[in-house]
Amino acid sequence: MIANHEVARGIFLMRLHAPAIAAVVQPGQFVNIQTQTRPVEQLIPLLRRPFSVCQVDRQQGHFTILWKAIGPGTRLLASHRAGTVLSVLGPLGRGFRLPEHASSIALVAGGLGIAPMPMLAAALQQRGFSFEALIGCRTAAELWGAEELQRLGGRVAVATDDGSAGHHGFVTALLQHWLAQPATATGRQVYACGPMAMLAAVAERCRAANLVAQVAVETIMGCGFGICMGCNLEPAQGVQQFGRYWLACLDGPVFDSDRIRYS
Amino acid sequence: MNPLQIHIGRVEFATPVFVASGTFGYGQEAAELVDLRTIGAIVTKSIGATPRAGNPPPRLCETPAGLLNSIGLQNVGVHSFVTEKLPFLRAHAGVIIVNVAGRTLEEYQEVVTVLEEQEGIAGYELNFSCPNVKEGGLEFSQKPAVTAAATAAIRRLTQRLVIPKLTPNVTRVSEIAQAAEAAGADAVSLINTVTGMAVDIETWRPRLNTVVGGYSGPAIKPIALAKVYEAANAVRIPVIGMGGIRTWQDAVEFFLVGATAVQIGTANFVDPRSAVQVAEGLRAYLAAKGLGSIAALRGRLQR
Repeated sequence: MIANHEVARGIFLMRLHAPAIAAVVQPGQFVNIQTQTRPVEQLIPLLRRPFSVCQVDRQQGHFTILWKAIGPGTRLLASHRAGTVLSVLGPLGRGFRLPEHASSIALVAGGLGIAPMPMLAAALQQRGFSFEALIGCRTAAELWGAEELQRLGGRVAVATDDGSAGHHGFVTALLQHWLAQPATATGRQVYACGPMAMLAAVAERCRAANLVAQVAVETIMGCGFGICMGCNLEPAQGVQQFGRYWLACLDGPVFDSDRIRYS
Repeated sequence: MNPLQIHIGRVEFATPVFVASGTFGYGQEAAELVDLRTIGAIVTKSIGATPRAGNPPPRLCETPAGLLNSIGLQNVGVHSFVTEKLPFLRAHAGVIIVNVAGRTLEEYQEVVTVLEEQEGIAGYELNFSCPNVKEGGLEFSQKPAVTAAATAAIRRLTQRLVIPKLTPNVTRVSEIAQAAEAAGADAVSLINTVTGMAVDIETWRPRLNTVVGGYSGPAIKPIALAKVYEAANAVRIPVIGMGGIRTWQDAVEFFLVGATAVQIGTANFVDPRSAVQVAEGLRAYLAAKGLGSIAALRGRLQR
């Protein structure tokens, strides 16, 4: 671990040196991190925790994750200083598919759902695509990512639950506004990450606009690579999935918004 | 001479450290992370006669030192296993033990009959103890007579290893183990998960969709040791011990109370190389103690 800084209230950006992961990770993929450095017989909690890769510097062999202390696993991340060696498994999962053509692109993030967006934005910028970033969070103090996404060429709009920054309300209202604007001739693409309720609202608004978004789910995972089968998701009605369930770690975390049920 | 080598029936295992069913998929998932041939045996995810979806989410909940699950035997079914999973395992793994599950005895028989046509399988672990399914599962290892009848029925179908996997959710596991032995089992494995639950105090809802699930991880190791100790003192066939093993030190405890082999379960989710690391630790421990064989540890608990 190279750095671990608070970038918004209670939200930290951790930079890790892991050239093998940095070389190949794609936007929307995640890593599974053992959040503690204790010997194996003292690991409590037991399991690794999944984090979206937020930014990558392939030349330096670095990447960052965005994290917030939510439970006993993530709380342990706060104690680590630069130089700490953490066990990291990755990159894991299926990431975002990048658009073939320059279309009207919206990145929709709710809360820590902002995490995968800078890396996605950088990939879009590299292809010469412009995009609009719609960022939602509870309050201005918890806002991170607006400047970063602007720097990557995005137009940014913010919504806060308490009205302390940007639009007073949910980020989906910003999406509704964006959907009401005319698209380019090559169409639209919506990428979203955030809590299930937000993704459900994104999926519903996109469906009404005849769009299928790409949504990245934040699901509890055991192993992260398909052996525990704990991170199952219901397929959307009418979607045939062998074995009936999706596994967020293998089939996702990015899904087409019409493929999953948001319960 | 390999000090870790063991035999169960006619099958030779290069190490006595296996990976437990349901904690290693069908091998393929972890093959990029660990050389499957370095694992003593791969015990597959339970296979039934037909594909099974398993239980709805949420079906995982971590607790201090433990993990609750209600996966519910999600599996591809024996026919897909044969065409899609077994060829990879045969090409990349050492010893393969297929864990067999069923709602009825007939389903166990059907699965074994299909698998008997296939090469490269050393034996069958009979899942008589899954707490997460409505039918079958636990009931096969809660009554000695039922365990005996089911074991005998499978014994008649195969020359391969027959290893009933027993539940800790009984008063006397020794009686169940003896029933399995008398019915022709080559070994017994224990324990499967312990029945458990957790509750969310904000929503007042259970943490698992099925309310109650199977509890695994380090928290259950003392329970597992006691059950393995009891069973190993009651039967002459090998006992394969599991429950909360993460380190070689954990494994040594199981050998001392009478296990012939051990399986690593939940620890694989954290590190799929756990079984290999435990075996390496055992090798060093035997050397440090001047012991030529893992068998020299078996049942050597001093009282």
